[in-house]
Amino acid sequence: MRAPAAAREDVLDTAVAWAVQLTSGEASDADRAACVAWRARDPAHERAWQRIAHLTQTLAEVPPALGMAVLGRRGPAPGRRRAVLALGGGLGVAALGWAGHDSVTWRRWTAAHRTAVGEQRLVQLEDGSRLLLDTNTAVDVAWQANTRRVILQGGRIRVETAADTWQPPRPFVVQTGVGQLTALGTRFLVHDLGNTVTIGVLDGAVAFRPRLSGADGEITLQAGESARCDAHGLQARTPLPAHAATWTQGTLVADAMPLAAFIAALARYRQGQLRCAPEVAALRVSGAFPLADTDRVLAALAQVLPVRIERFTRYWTTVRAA
Amino acid sequence: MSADPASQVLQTLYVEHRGWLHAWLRRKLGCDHDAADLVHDTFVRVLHGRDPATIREPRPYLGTVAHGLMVNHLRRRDLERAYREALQALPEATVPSLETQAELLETLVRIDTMLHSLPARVRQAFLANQLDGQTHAQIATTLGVSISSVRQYVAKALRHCLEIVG
Repeated sequence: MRAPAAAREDVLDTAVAWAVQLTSGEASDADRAACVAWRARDPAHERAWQRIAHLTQTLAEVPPALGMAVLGRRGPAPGRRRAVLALGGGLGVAALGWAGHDSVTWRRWTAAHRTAVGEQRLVQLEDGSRLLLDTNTAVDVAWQANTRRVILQGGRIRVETAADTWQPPRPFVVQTGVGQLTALGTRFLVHDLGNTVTIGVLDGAVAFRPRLSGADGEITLQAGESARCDAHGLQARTPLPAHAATWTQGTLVADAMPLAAFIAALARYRQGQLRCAPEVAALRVSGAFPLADTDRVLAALAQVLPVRIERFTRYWTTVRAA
Repeated sequence: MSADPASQVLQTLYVEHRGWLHAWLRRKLGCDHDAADLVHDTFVRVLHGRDPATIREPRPYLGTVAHGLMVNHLRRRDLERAYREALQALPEATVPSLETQAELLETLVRIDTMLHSLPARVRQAFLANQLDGQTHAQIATTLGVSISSVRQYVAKALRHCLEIVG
């Protein structure tokens, strides 16, 4: 019998092996599916995976060409200058941009349906149900004999269920990191925020069973209701906000929304970093803004609020006081 | 001034050793001001470390602590130099605010601290793959090694970083 410490090391080595494979440039869909399965098999696997995700998140904050030039430098060499390593590439304006791939969150790499940052996509499932994937969202579709299962790895979706053609009809289930939703009706929103999930019911009803409380913690939400839940259960239940689903039309609607929250919502649709400086965080924003053109939204903000948009390359933007 | 034994020992150490330590560091760093800072940091490090009364051989011990701090200091100085050069290479209009520059510098220092003790090729392969999004095949060509070597490098670097970060 292995000592626990040794077993943990093995899990970490395996997680590293998966991470290396999925970012090799030669990973297949089968690889991605196998990694998803490995992660799901044991919470210890998922924990190891998340440690790696946390690490790569730090890397993702650095503009690649600049990072390569600085981190890939030779030295320190007292009294001697050394050239930037060839692997880093030049520092021309064209080179200072984001690498083509989406390296922000690890689970994004492994899902069957993925949207890039800023992309929205409608996915039709084999029973006629439809998933609308919001920006930077990843889902797996795991149809089983007794369940129509969708696994939300991250991001936000709108679900429209169709009646199952099978007899007896199978329940439609959305699985998240903090719990499982069963559709009791037709249309609802699920937003995975990591430690919590926000559910909004547009039509019909949804039952949510938290991962750690089981049946005791189960709650049911009706049309017009919204809830924020964690792995233990309900955190807050509110009426569904008026503008909760405008993202499905490609619009961000704000009604005296604090700028910090507005920028956080907008940032999801934008490659790289978008931040709001503390001194302007409490300013209020109102209006309807097109999510497809975040630069235009930022320009509009600078017109109506005492802010300026500070840019360091296209991919590192901060909203500061004017 | 505190009269407890540990502080007394530390004070004695300081009085007896700061002179040669400062001169030694000034020679290595080429800067009086930095040398003074590092002398201070060395004794702070000793203060928070083992009981000063247990130090049998003060000179080698202080030298080791000071040397470690000096290496870190030089590495950070070198990173800041490379960073400044990189910023200077940018077109005037795209240079970020001092605040953003400072935030990004700290991120770079954090990453650099994780990677610096890795062999150069391991570090380069890791950065090219994870920071710059290059494929293993591309990196293998540039570095002149096999693809399986690239895999090993990236895995080794990842494992190493995880150990440091915890």
